[in-house]
Amino acid sequence: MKKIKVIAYYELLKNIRDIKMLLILILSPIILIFILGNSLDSFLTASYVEPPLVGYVNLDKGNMSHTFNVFLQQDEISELIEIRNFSTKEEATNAIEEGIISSMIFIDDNYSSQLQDEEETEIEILGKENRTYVAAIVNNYVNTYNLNASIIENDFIPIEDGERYTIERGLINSKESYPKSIDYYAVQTLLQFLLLCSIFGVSIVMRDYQKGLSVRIKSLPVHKHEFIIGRLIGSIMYSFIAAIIIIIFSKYVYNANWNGNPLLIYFTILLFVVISNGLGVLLGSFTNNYTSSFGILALLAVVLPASVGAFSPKTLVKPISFIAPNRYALNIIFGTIYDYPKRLIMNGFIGLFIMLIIVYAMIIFFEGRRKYENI
Amino acid sequence: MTFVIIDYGKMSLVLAINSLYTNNVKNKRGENMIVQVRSIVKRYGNVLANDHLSLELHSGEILGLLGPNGAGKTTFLNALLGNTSIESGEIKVFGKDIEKFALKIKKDVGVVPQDLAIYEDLTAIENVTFFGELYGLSGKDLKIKVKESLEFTNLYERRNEFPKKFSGGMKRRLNIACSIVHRPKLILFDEPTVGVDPQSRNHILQAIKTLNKEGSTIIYTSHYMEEVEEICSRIVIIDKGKVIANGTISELESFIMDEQIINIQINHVNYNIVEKIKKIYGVKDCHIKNQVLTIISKYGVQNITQILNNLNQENCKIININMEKAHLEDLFLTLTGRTLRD
Repeated sequence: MKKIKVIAYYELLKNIRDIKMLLILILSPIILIFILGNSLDSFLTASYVEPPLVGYVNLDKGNMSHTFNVFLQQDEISELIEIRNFSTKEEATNAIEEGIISSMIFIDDNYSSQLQDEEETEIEILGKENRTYVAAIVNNYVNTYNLNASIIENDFIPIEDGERYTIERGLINSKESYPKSIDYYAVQTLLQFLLLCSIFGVSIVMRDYQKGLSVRIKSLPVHKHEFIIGRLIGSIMYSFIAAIIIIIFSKYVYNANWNGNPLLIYFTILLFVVISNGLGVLLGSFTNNYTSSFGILALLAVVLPASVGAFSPKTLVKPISFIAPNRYALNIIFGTIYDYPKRLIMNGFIGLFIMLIIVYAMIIFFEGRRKYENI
Repeated sequence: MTFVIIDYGKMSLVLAINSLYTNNVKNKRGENMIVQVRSIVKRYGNVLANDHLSLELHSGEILGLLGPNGAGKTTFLNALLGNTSIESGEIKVFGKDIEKFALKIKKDVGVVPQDLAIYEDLTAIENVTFFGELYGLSGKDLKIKVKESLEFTNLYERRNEFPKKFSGGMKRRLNIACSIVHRPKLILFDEPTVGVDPQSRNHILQAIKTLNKEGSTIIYTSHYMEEVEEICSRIVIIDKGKVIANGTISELESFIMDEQIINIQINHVNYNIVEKIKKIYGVKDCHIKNQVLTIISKYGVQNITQILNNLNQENCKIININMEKAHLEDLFLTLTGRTLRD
């Protein structure tokens, strides 16, 4: 046990001092979160001079448009556009002609019913000026709505008539909060990069790139499993610390929403890095080759996050999301931040634990059969 | 005095083993025996890396393990530590079977690998401390031994620096410090001077002598005969996984003391000439490489005129000629027809 502690400590120390790894694992996601999360907002800010007066016509009597009303009433939005309500489209059009308002947002009377029937619906933007500007704000809402719908679909909740409405209301209305781009990408990008921590796992069971070190290590009075466990613990600790830094940075610098149960969030992240590092060990044991392992890892680090909407909510690889640990971690983290049903959070935990057991059982199987001289 | 005959192809090497060595071999309690290797076989695919290799090492010896690249030296060292499995044979270190007691044995063995085995992201003192802890040292004992190791290798003043700032020689010394921190009874040096400047090389060789004086038994592998001659009390020459010579320096020298080496550079290669020269009285062997004829001849036999006549008859123009008495370096050539660094 003492030797495992020593190996873990020095592994952590070595990783912390590895500037290249620090850049890849901590700096890259911080930059990426900024780019993905703020690309829209920066556009808005750049166009902002003073809030333009925008007309709003909502003919929908259903509950679905209510979320859009809530969205427009947010302080952040009212800083960007000043809304003036009109009862008919004609009234608003006349106001545009007279130069009272620059543009208008129009919601048709069948908006809620179409959504409930899982049909596409539109929020129309009309006007002479500021149309693109207003469209960007509305798009922000539409994207958020679609993202949430996508997350729920990923969890295979049976979508029947009306149920989408219930979930949508549960997600957005109960707290009257929703994930902005920065909130969404802070979580997604963090998990995507933590999946890359598998690289550590690969290097643990691979012949050291410094041939001499491999010889020395095998000549030490240390069991193979002590060495693997020690290095694994060191790498997991490093990945976890990196995750904490990214969370704190994105929360306090980018104002990303991490306001869920902190214990639940950090425990999920810990489980996730244990799985991702283990995945690397498994890959290394299985391929026994750096190039193949890194090739497979690079592919997984793109495909698995993509399957749970890390790049876009609409994705062709969604069917394989059940093998992505990101999916289960997202359930828990978004679940605690945006009050998902408890069942979803529990499903997330069950998914992560099953993956953990499978990965480590396979490691024991493959590593047990592997000769020390091949490491 | 006992004689050991080692067969190598058509040649036989007869060595006189001194009485002290013989007595040690006969010690049934094995008190003085550090390493006993009996007829080990290790194969990589179709290549026999160790071919029924046997060897013994006694306390206090510096054994030079000599052989060209790919001779099986490193495989032998790996097998000695239980790091590579063997197909047959037996290995005992400190009187214990390596297969059963590998971890216990490794506690008392230090390994200086051919390639650098230090972490660039740890300082010198952290490197030595890390390996010291893994050898089971702790507390004050660890601190004292780490300090001693760094002082021994002249690195204590720079203990808090990272190896990336070190010269090649300093890195080599740190490599040694990491291997000796636990004061091992047996130290294996696997070609530790490869790519090292002459000054650092001398420092390393002196360090090995000092470690030996302080009680460590040493196995030193190299393909430089002059290094082995300088520090080793006994030399074992390996080729193609087999021991082809085993004895003290003087014993090995006596085998080649009646030989001379004649090197003749000619303008064009004619393979008939090799066979003709081999038939000349006194010539033991003849090889040609890069237009240089290397002739091993019995020392004192006046056959040079005959050799030159033969070359004239084959219309070979002589560019350069060199005759010298055989050195220990030439022993490998005598035994195998190749040089150590071929």
